[in-house]
This record gives sequence, C-alpha cells and structure tokens, in this order.
Amino acid sequence: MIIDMHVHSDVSDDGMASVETYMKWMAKLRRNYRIDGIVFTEHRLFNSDADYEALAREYGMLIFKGTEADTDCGHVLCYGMNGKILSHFDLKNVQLSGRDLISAMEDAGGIGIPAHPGRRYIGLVEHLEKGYEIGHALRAAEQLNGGSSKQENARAQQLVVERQLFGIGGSDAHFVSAVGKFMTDFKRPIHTMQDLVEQLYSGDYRPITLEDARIQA
Amino acid sequence: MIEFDRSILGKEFVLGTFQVTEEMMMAFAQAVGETSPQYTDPEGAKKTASGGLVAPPIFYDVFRADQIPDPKVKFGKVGFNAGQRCEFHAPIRPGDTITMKARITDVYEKTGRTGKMVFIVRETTYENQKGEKVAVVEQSQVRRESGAARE
Amino acid sequence: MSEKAVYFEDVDIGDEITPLPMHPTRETIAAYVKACRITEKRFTDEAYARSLGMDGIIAPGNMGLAYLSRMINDWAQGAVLRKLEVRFRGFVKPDDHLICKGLVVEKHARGSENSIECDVFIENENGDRPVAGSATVVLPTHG
Repeated sequence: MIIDMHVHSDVSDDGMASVETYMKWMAKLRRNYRIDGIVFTEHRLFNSDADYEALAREYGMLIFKGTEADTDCGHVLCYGMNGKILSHFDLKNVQLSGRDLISAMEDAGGIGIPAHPGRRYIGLVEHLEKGYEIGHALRAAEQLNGGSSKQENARAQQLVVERQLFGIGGSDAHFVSAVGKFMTDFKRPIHTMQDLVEQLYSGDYRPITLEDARIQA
Repeated sequence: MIEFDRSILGKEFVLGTFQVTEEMMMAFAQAVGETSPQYTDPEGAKKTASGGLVAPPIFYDVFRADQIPDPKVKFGKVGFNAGQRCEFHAPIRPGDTITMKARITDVYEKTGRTGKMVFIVRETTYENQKGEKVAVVEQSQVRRESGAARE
Repeated sequence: MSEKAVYFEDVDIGDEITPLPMHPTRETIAAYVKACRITEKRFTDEAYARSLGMDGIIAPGNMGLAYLSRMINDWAQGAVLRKLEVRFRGFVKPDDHLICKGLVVEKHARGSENSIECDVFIENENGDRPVAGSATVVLPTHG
C-alpha cells in the first residue's frame, strides 16, 4: 500500500487546503498513480475532534491523523497519537524533549519518526552531531521529504544507513499540488492506524517517488 | 513561554477612516500593471460586470494606520511578513469611506531552519460607509531569534 | 489580458492559469510604495534594508499578492477573487525574473457562487517559490 506519510491541511498554521480539497486532487492523481492513503500530520497539534471516516469512504482511501511536533532535536512525526501522549506533552511547546516524545510514543503504542532529519536546526542529524542523546526508541526516520533539498535528503539517507533505521517518504505538502511527491510503499495491507504503526515497526516498506507509483499501462 | 502583553489578545482597535478617490484607485492599479477596464478606465468600467470603476482586491494596502495593535513581544529585533490570508467582499468604489479595525488574534512559537520563531497574527477588517465588509486580512508577522532575515 | 470570460463549467481540476511574468524594478517598487503611502524603509532604503540582514531592498509582500490577483483577473474576465492566502518563504527583489503561476485544484458548485480553488505561486528562475498559496475564485456560469 502506498501512503503519503506527511501532509499538512489548513488545520496547520501554514497549510493551504482542506482535507476534502486534497481528496479531490488525489482522486484525479489516482487515475495515473497508485496511492492508497494519506496522513495529515498537522503542526504542533493533534486534531482529535476531526472525523475523516465519511470522506475516506467516499474517496475509497485511507485518511489518518497524526502530528508533526517541534522538539529539541528537530521535528518529529507522530503516528498513533492518543490521550496519554497529549496529556503528557504540550505540543505548543517547541522545546519538547524529542527523546522523551519518541520513547513515550513507543510506550503508548504509537511511533515517533524524525521528520526531514537532514535540515538545519529542525532536523535530527545536526543535533546528533552536537551530541544529542536520542535514546533507544529510534527506529525510523523520514528519508525522503518533499520540502527538503537534495542535500537535505542526502543527509537523511546517510542517517538511515549509518544508524540502520527504517526510512519513510512523505511529501510535506502544504498545498494540494505538492501531495505525493514522495510516499511510502508498504508491503502489507493497512486498514487502521494500529496496522500502520505495526508496519512502521516491521520495516517492511521503503520510501518512493511519485514516479515510482505510476500505473504501468 | 513567550513574553508578551496578553491583555491585547482579541481586543479590537479602530485604526482610522479613509476617503477613497478615483485617483488613488487608478494609481494603485497602474502601479501593478493592471489593464482591465474595471480597474483603469472609469468610462469603460461602466460596461463591465462591476458597473463602474472598482479597486483591485489588494487595494486595502493603501490604508495605513499610524498605530497598530502591538503585543510587545519580547523576542527578536525585527519582524517580517510571513504570510497573509485575505477574504474579499464588497468591491471598493470611488467616494467610499473605509474604516479599518484590527486585533491581535494569536501569538505562537514555531521552529524552522533558522531556529526559533515567534508569529504574531493580526486580523484587520475593512468596512465601507454602508457597514459592508470590504476585506478581512489576517497577516502573520514572524520574528526570528537569530535575527536572520529569512529561512 | 484575456478577452474571454472563463466559465465555471469549462474549467477542470488540473487546468493551468495563464502565467504572468513579474519583473519588479526599483522604479516599479517605488511606484507601488508611493501608491500605498508606505513609509517602511526596507522597500526603498538600501542601507536600511541591509542593516536588517537583507541583501538590499525588497518588494512589499502585498505587491506579490497584487500580481497574483492580476494573473487571475487577466486569465478570466468576469472572475471574482474571494480569497487569497499565501506564505512568504523568500523575498521578491528588484531585477528578479519571476513568474506568477496557478493550477486549478478544486471546484465548488454552490448555486449562487460557483468557485474554483487554485494553488498559486510566484516562482523564480531557480524554480524556488518565494510566494506560495491558494486562491478561491468565483466564476460565471453559462446558465
């Protein structure tokens, strides 16, 4: 299954389009590319109240909710957010402990994955180079990010290789036409967030480009 | 936590009232290279859907206030425009009187490639003499810790 | 400028808006600043702009918005801009060679106000987008 793991709707302060607008665009994309789902990882919040079930059914795609948190070691994508995490971590605090967040996500049945690790300041690589202790819970990193430069993605790839992490791909789209630039190709079917988290820990996936997802005639 | 004057959040300030003239409208249209008769030709504009000369949507930028609400954020030395969300309602016509009101709706932190940033969000409402909304512009100002001008 | 009206029924998701070149100069920036009675010196005073950390004077953000608005209006006579939102990710500078672009990403058929949503950008020669956002435009219908 192919999922864009990192997208921002207008729920994020700098997102430009509603979830529904994204779905309409993806419906058109799907005529030529295999795309099965999308995760809305909104900046510094988890959109608890939003229910995208009806939209997901209407468009025949998976729509998941996640968070992109600001932390003291860069941004962290959180999949499998729940009340326990939300009560312990104030997502508006941009200096959250990234190590504690990733560890807590694992304990709570979710997973925290460093976003765009190759970027200055908001990427994990720079912090590790300065001696940041990431702890033992780090399993995966965002190897391909659609908003990162080639050099930034290369640094992310280097991190994945050196630390033997699993790598995901996401577009980091803030507007509709950027969606799908990079995605993650999972070997096994996914139906729920729980499935997604399980698969993320399994490592049976790889980051891909939109072109990799083109439907061959 | 960011230090700023929280008492200002949500408080509405009336910033001023402005007379709109045909000259002002045409000077703005000309400055951005507009050629559409509805913005540039008072006679020709009568034949367009607007029925007469109207101002281009971004014309709200001509209304300047001496004082704007200031949350006195203790962070960074200079602000830059990070983005805007604009809604456009009734068109502006020559002879209109526009009242400008503003309030600070949010102050929040974020991190980016240049480090920590603080965003100040100000919503400005423009109304005409009939009490009709003409435009609502939400502007985000960014202040960076490093003093860097951009990402 | 387009002579034709663009009708809601005739527009498809994926359609491109006619691009509009934007080549700001010190003169056109000064004209905009004058028309808007802007007193902020970063748009006119080179030394002051450099003291703020920039390479030199920049164009006001709203000038970019005005060009995006013009792009839409030039493409579709009869179009009414309802919303325009952008993020500024870089500066627009004098002598930049930029192009305003737009792409239709959504259609809303709502009876009295049929509108389209477009991703809009101002792009430089390197393909970077100092200004990127979204516009909602009401279009006339044939009926």
